[in-house]
Amino acid sequence: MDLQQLSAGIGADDPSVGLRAVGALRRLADQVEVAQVAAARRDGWSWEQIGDALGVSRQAVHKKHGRFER
Amino acid sequence: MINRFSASARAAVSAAVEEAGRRGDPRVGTEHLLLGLLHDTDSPATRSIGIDLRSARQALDSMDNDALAAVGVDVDLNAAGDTTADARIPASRSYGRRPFTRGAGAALRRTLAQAQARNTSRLEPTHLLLALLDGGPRDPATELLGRLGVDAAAVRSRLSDAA
Repeated sequence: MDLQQLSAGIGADDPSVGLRAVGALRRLADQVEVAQVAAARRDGWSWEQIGDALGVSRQAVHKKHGRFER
Repeated sequence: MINRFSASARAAVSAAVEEAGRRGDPRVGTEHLLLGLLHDTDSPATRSIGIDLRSARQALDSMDNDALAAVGVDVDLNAAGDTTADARIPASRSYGRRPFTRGAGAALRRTLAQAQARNTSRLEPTHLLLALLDGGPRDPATELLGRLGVDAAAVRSRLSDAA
């Protein structure tokens, strides 16, 4: 499925379903991020490397995930 | 306004904040307020709804999964864990306190109006429930109640019988 089909699917009949899907996708992305950042840290990745991989700054990643490290 | 909430109404609101956190939702919405009410298993509000917390959580999760399926994403959002369990490691991280949605704020203000209409200054969980029943279309609590097959008129009548 390409992006056009995806957004056509979203707009097809009910925006409330489409908007709910967007919210669910954000939460899904967040859950995957939490797990993957933790895995990367365990593997010895630096915050800078993780930030580069996610396309955000080292500070942003550290602020969001750093305080959960033991 | 929060000062006028009874202890049980306050407990429902903090349970709602907990529900939002548990799901990883960035804001506390009317659907979380509804789940928050259901934490007290034996309250008049919960009995008049006639649904338990676990079923309501499952219904909300299935609404999400169905919405994802509707846009062609075949994934079980909660495959990582049993989200209907009471204790779940929060899947998402957010900063600081979790704000209320505009809709949830409006519902809390309607709660005050519901109490005033009954000549009481104490805001009880039943007043919150009555406010949630008036959410109107596109309101998440209304959608969740619809999904659960809960009829708002029937809930109102059970509430007035109990009063």
